Amino acid sequence: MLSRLVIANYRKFANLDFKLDPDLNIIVGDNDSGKSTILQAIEMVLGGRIGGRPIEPEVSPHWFNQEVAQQYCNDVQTNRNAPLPSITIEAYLSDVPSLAALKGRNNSLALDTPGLRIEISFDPRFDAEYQEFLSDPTKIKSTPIEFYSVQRFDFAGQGVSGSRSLVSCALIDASTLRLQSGADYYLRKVVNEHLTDDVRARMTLALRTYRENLADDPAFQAANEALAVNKNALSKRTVKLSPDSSTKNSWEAGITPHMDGVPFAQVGKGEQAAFKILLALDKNSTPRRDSILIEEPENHLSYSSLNILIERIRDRSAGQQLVITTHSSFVLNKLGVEKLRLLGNSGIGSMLDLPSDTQEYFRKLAGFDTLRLVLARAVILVEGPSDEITVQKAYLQRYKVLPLEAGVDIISVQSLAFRRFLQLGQTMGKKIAVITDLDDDNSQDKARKRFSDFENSQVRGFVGSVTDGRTLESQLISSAGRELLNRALGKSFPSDNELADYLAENKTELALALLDYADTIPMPKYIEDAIAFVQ
Amino acid sequence: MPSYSRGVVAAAGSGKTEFIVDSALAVASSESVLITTFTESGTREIRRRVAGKVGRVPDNITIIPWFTFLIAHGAKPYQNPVIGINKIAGLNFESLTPKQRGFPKKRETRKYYLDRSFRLYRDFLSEFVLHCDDSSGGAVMKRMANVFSWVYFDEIQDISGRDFELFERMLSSGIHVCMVGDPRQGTFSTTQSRTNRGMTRSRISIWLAKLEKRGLITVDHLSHSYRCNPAICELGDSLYPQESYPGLSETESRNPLLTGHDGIFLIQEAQVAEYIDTYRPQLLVWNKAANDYGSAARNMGEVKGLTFDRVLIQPTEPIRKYFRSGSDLTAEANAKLYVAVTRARFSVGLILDRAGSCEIQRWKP
Repeated sequence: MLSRLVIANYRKFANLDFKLDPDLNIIVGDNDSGKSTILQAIEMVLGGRIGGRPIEPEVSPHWFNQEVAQQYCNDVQTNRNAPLPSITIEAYLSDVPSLAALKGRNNSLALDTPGLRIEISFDPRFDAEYQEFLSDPTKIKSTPIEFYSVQRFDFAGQGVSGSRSLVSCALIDASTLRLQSGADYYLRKVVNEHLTDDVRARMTLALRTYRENLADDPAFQAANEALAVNKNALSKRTVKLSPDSSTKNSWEAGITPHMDGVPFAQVGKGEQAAFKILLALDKNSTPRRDSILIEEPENHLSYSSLNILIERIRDRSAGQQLVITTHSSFVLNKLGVEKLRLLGNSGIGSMLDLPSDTQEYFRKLAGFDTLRLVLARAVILVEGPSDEITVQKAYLQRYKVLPLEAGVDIISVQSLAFRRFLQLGQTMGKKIAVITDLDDDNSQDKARKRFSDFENSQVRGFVGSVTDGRTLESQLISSAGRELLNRALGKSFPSDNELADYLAENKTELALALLDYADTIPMPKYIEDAIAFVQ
Repeated sequence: MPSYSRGVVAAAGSGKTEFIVDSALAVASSESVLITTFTESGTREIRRRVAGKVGRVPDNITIIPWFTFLIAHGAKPYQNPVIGINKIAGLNFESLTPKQRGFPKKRETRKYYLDRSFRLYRDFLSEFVLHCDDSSGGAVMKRMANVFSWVYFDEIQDISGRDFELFERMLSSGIHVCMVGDPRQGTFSTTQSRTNRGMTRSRISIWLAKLEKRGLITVDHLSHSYRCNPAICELGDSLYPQESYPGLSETESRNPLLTGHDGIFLIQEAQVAEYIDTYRPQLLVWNKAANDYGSAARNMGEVKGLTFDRVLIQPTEPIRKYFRSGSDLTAEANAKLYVAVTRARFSVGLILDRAGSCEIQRWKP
């Protein structure tokens, strides 16, 4: 089992230290937060491949963390000996007797544990060529990967070849289905692994015999006779057709799996994805996979199919480690919020990092709200649905887009729960604005207590001025004026007090009326400030 | 506490390699076995014999030379943080003087153990392994014991330097170690190291006896020869008289076959060609500089483990003197002569014109 993943300089991650749960890890994060990168890194270090293909030809300058690569490009202009960036990915495995041969301390944490390490770094054999390349440093605009090599070692310091590994993993990417000659690499690999050695050998032999017999077919013979007559004038040799019986192990290439009589490639995408996932999870496959990586299982699946798939994933994955990325609150809720791994700007957080009462709170809360916090670029926390609508209006009239379209989610929570959300948001380095009512006629202190512990460059709280009243409604009377509100509501309250009394009982009505109001409504300053903060 | 580990003192032709192969194959396939010896050729021979018995080398059995084992399982796993991550690039086989290495101090770990290309000096390999084990709190030995439950070691008489300590640590690590060797065949040395020189070669039986006393191993003897006939056993034993080599026992011949030309013979130089023509013996020489009489000669130091029906030995001057007057031989010459003699099943010919006080019969055409 993969217990810890340490990444240096790979794509988004200058440094990532990810401690994994032995059973299930649900990685959730905004687009471009690095979810796929993590799965790719695991596939590379455990499986020695990327996207099913060998790693070395795939290496690209974009793999290197931008800041580190840029640093090198700058440094090398003035210093020929500027260190070249290198990528390392390390998989720390659980210390079990069967993995003893992979054990050692050849890892960046110098831990005595079994593991694998991949290093993409400058190959000193190219030093002469590199020195020549350096003669004009102004040409160096990216990492010179032409002089790089990929090396994979176990922690004992032995080179590891891709094929025979003591640990294995399968990455199932349900979002894109790469189809090559009927069955894609994963499918062929997974199908192949389900067949025992002798079944495979017999398949290979049968196909070869079949091909060889083909040569004796009258049609084939006739074709060859025709070729023999038309002798090529240039060379005196004879051209003859013959079925290719040389390749020993490629029976999969000419064979395609069928599901209920339909070629796999023709089955619906959702079914294909589900089939691949379930095949990979099968406990009887040989060799057994230790880690299974599933990218967005919800793709291409209807709600009811997803429901069945998740049930099956839960049943079948016992004893195997699952790493799943998802955008679906349904997947999250079904598999358990406590296994959630939150990927944010400050690295990867776990629910387990939170205080236990906060963990408990989110365990009970619908996964949907949790996900909203996780997936948004920035969050505004408000105290109720009417506040939510009003803040939305304020945002829309100022920036001409809905906040969600700009990655800003306005989440309405009970004021007591601010603390929970802030704890969760903090582990991910989210930008969060808190908007809250005053609970006191004389000072902001009481309201500010709800968030002051968390305030920093990423988190700030906003409360109305003491003179303009306790609630958002009374603040609005001050900023927009009674006349405008009367017009929006289709009412005609003669005094601010009467309007305030009415609004206290009809918050939602006001909020909806304001949302529909065609013109600009002057908003209280603290609302405007909050919106500007998350922008 | 009785130990599972064993030391086996074997005579030439007793089938000690066979004993190792059979024992290793008898280990349950769920347990992993290492079979190792000092030379590449010895490793190949063991691999050939295992494959000859069961078709191929079983998955649970690893057969690699001792240096390969030490690099992979002794030096590399815990080279970090001693040297750094994946730094060791291989072995430097040169035996350099301290001056050639620049008189490095022991605490300059990198310079002391490795050359500029990060190759470990062969002579310091086992010392480096001990150093890694010490600095990792015994993790090297712990890992070895997890990877290999059984270790069979052939030609233990060739051990030298700090290997003795390594073995002692392995014996205490929980690995079942079986060391097999013939103290009389110490013709090869793993390092040029002076450390523990008193223990090497023929003195190996003294070391094994000490280990037995400490309860680390039990010592057994395989003192019979399936190969050599009684006369050849007797000549072999005479090179290591028991009064000088306690711990060795008389070799009992288990080859009763007669061919019409059996035992030890002195051959006149002038009759060598005729002798070769008549009996087709394997000619054994000290080195390739010797006269090979137009026959395919082999070096005495390189025929360990091999069997020939007949051998013809071309002695060096010291060996001639030994036969003529009983003068002393160096340990190396003594061992090589022992190996040469005990290759033969039926007859040993010695090319010697003046016999001196030697009582061996002379061959007459």
